[in-house]
Amino acid sequence: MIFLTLVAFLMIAFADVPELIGKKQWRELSVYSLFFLAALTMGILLSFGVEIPSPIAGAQYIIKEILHLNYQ
Amino acid sequence: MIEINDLALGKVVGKLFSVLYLWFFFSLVFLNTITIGSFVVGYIMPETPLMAVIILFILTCAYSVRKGVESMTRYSALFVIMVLLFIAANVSMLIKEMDFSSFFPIFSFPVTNYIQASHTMAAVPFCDVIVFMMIFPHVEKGRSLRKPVFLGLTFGAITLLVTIVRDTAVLGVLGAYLTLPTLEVLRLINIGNTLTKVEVFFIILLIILQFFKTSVALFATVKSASQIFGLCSYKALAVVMGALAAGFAAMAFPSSAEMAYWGRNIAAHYSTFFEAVLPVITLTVALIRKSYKGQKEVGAS
Repeated sequence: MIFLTLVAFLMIAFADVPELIGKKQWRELSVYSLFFLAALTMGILLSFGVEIPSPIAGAQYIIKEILHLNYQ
Repeated sequence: MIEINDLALGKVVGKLFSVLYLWFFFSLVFLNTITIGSFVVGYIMPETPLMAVIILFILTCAYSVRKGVESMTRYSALFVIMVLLFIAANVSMLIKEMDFSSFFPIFSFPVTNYIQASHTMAAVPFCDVIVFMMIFPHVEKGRSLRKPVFLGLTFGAITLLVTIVRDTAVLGVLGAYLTLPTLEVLRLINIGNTLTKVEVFFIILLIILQFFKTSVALFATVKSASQIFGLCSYKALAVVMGALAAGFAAMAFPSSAEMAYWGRNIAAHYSTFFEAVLPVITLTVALIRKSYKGQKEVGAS
């Protein structure tokens, strides 16, 4: 599973990075790398079965437990 | 929209609001992705891993975004025609199954039920059109947006009303206990033992429309990100943001029950913050700054 994840992300990188380097779009490349690393980290953690806390659970906690806005 | 935030609220607060909108558009992508993933795995291919469906779906949306906004929206008119024809056809086929006494007694539920339903319906399917704020700058210069937006929302409202009236008239009280009343309603269509399994068309249309909605949300996400970071092009971010959204979709909800609870009780408030509260704050600050600027100019002259 981890191997498939790495292959998939390598393919994504091969699809986008050469074009960015060729056009010398360094700002785009740095922002792309930031999101790429975030996605890669998440992909690897999910492949290993690590439970990542969901931001939706955080939003639900704020709306339900703190603001008490939930309908039920 | 990102540019409006910077102009109205200043560089720092404007950037903060823009990041909030970026998060909202991104959340629309992965929430819609998990919705369609759960539907496909729950109703069509129960043996298929959820991640496989999510990845295929998001890859298609990312490809659509990479091709550009013009090609992405070109087929939207075709989808509208397909929806119109399909709804007209299945309403006419279900007329004999309809029992309009299912609507009585009216207003028999507590008031909070009606408030909850109206708020959820307004906030989630309707006010999500805020994502089109990122597409409007791409409309031909000189063309008015008011009429098309108004017509689009009106058409959406009529479609929704006809669907709900049809489902309630056919299913009655049973509709409240079903996850997808429309699917069950369409299963009842049987014309001469020949025209059956009409729900297949509904499933195809649902996936197509969800794909379009997610593509628009993904476009809004990458466009916002490119404007916040000052990039020349948004296309390079499409696939990588899609990959990130796939990860978020996989871990968003631990179960379908949690997802249903979110949709019924929390989603409306979550959406209202981004669709109503933030725009009202931006508008108020912009009006105050405009009037203050006007007074300053009058004082100076």
